[in-house]
Amino acid sequence: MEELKSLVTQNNLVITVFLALLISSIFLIVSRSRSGLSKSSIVTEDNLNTKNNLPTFIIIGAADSGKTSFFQYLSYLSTAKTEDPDAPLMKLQDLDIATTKSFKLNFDKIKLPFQSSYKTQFLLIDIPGEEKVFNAKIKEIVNNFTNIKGAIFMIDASVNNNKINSIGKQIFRFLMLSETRPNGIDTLLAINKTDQFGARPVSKFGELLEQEINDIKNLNLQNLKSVKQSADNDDQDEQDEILEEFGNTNVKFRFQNLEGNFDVYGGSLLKGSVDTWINWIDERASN
Amino acid sequence: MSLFNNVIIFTGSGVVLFKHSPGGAFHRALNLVNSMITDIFINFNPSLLDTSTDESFSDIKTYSKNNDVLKYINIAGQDEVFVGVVYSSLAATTGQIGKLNRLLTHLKDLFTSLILDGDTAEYLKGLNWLEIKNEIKEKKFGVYVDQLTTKVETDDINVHDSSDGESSESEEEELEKEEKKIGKLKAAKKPSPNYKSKNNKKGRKWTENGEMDEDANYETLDFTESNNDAVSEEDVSKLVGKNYGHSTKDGFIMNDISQEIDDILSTKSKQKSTEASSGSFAFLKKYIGLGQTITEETLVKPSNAIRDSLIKKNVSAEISEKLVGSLKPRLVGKKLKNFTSAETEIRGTLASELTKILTPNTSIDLLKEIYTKKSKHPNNPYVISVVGVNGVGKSTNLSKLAYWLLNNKFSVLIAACDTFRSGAVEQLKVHERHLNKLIDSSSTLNSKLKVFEQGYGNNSKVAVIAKKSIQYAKDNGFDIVLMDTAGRSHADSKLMAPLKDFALAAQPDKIIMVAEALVGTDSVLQARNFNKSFDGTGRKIDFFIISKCDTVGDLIGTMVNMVYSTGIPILFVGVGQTYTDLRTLSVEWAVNTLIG
Repeated sequence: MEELKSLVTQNNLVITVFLALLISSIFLIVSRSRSGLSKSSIVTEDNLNTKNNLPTFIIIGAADSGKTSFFQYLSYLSTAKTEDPDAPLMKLQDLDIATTKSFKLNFDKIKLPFQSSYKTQFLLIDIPGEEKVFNAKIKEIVNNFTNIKGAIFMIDASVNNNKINSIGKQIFRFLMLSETRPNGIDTLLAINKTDQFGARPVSKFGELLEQEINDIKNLNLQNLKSVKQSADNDDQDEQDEILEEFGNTNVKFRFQNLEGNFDVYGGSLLKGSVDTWINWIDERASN
Repeated sequence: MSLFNNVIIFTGSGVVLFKHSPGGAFHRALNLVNSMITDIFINFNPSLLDTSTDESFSDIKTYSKNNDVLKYINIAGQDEVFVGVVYSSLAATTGQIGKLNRLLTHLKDLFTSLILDGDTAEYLKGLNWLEIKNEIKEKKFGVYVDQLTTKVETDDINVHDSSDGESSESEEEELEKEEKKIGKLKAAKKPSPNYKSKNNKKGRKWTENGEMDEDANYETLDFTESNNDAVSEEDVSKLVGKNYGHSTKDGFIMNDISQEIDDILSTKSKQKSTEASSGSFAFLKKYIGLGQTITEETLVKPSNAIRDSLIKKNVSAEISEKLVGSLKPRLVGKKLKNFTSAETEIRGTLASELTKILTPNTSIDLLKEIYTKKSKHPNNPYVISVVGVNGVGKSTNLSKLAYWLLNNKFSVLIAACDTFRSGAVEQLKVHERHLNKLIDSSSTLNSKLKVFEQGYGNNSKVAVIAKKSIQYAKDNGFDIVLMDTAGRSHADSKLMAPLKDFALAAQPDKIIMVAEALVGTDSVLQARNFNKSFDGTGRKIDFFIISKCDTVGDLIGTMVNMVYSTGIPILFVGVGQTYTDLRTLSVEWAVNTLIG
């Protein structure tokens, strides 16, 4: 009997030691992978294809509409407002912002809302406007960033008619992705460079783009479907569905019929008149 | 005469981190940079670059346009940050170009040690561009660049090798000294708050013989003033080194930086290499793949496997090799995510690379273009011609195109420009009969289709038929002319030569090359030779149609071959025998098929 008891306690001891080892090794592994995670949470171009639920704003638009400049301005604004909310802001000219054509994305973490002392961190992404890069990247981002709070679509107010078509296409491409979400993505059409000679009036842009997107939509309905093989292309089906949804040729395309909200505000980065845009961002950030 | 007009440090994401514009015309330099980025990084046309023949400057790329030349070098990360100099090719002599090459390599070293503190990718990830711009201002990078330029111009670089007997200090001490100096510089300058130091980098002019302009703002450079208690006399003498000959105050400062530049350039090769710490779980990690770092060795095996799998998918060996090779610099040094192998990582990177290649740089919207032309010139038909090797399906795909266009309520004229192969005209006649029956039976198709033919004959007849058919289309209100041409072997220059005349005579709006998915590695040559055959007409092939995709299953490497070797996008792919078996290419599908 005594022997049996000691055997049991011995067994218990072995089990306890074993359990302790197991737990500690699990803890070690988990804590290791945690620290790895915090490192990999830095978003770069290489990990866009993993799901991400950081609250995010994206800046999109055609090439040379001022995206990278606005990105840099927001970066600056975030730092300046966090350090000293009451300090006078610098003018854009003094910030010494120059840009080249982009073929890579810009990322930054900014603190929003700008005009509040209760700030949270948001991811800001600036996506190149060059069609080839845009088409590839916007898909990855809209599909994988599940928490996009808003998209700022920059438009050069002084563009000529030919460019309107490619801008329309870009918005269309974006909508085909964003409208698959339950509530779409709220979008600001930020009409930049309104100070320039030859700039169109801001009020014209909504209508102009609606007409253009309407045409593009109708053309797309006439176009051929893309190659589909087996079941690995649900995505395409979904897009076709959306196209059919707002694709009825008899119904004119309107921004107001979309899931996401669309706002059009004019401004000029160069002149520093971007308050409406900043307010728009703040509004989306505090919701 | 200055060596260059502009020095510009810019990122792949479009931020200009630093500019120095002694020659003015900064906007012109920016335009040059922009057109380089479009050609090289967006349209992937590396043939526009010159690489220096000198081995030691092989990283330096040269891009020129209208007598403006941009020399640039990737200074951090994979295409993350570049430094470039812009100069005019009219003014530059061979000696000066050699100096510019040296200047660029030195600028790279200077930027890496001063601004990035010796390291690159990891450092960049944690920072945003704003911080780097501030760093550049605070550390007075502009002054260093000025000084460096003078030094390069006057060939006054004392890059000393510290392993020589002359110096008794060990490398570590050398490094320590280096760090101290940089630290001291930092301490000497009160870090200026956001952007307020704008003036600091201005106001310094260096004349050609290295003397300073009297009007310059000395204060900003005065390192001796504010370091009252931080730096002892002894340190200062160390800082200046042997060149302490110029006794004036200003001379002292000049030598200070000058010496420092020399030091930085000498020690750059001995940067601390960060070794991955081997923890107690290192052996375990190796087996279950926890946070491994990719090295050149670990890449070899999976790279070869992936290259082979690409070749099996019909991608040519040459292109597979290049593709996989181009991934290496992006992967080496990267940390693997937990529980992933190097192979998955490579596949992911390859997928994004393939997506980049296959995504067209202009969206392909044939209908839009037809409408645009029609609204501008209502009488002129839109002319599309197809070319290709024998038997790839030119006529078949032409008829598929015709059916699609008919569906869009266009009237279509097919011009039988194949006057060579017997039965070519009759074949088109059969398509005409079928399509016209389809039009009649369908209530939605109220357009018309006709074949324009003038029998068979020699080459001279082709151009005549082309011209006549366009005239016929004008007279009879056809919207679109589709021109069928004779199939020809791309390797036979005698057969290829007439294509040029044909293009000049017909002036087609679009030239489409049909190629079959079956062909394999010959597709590279086909695409190149056909594209070349239009040299001198100012034209090239606008699109590809890849036919017979239904016959190859997942072996669709031909698409990659053709697009990669020419940069021409794919308009449609043929996937079957009926008139409706024409599809647009889904890049995602193609990439998944190739990688999976």
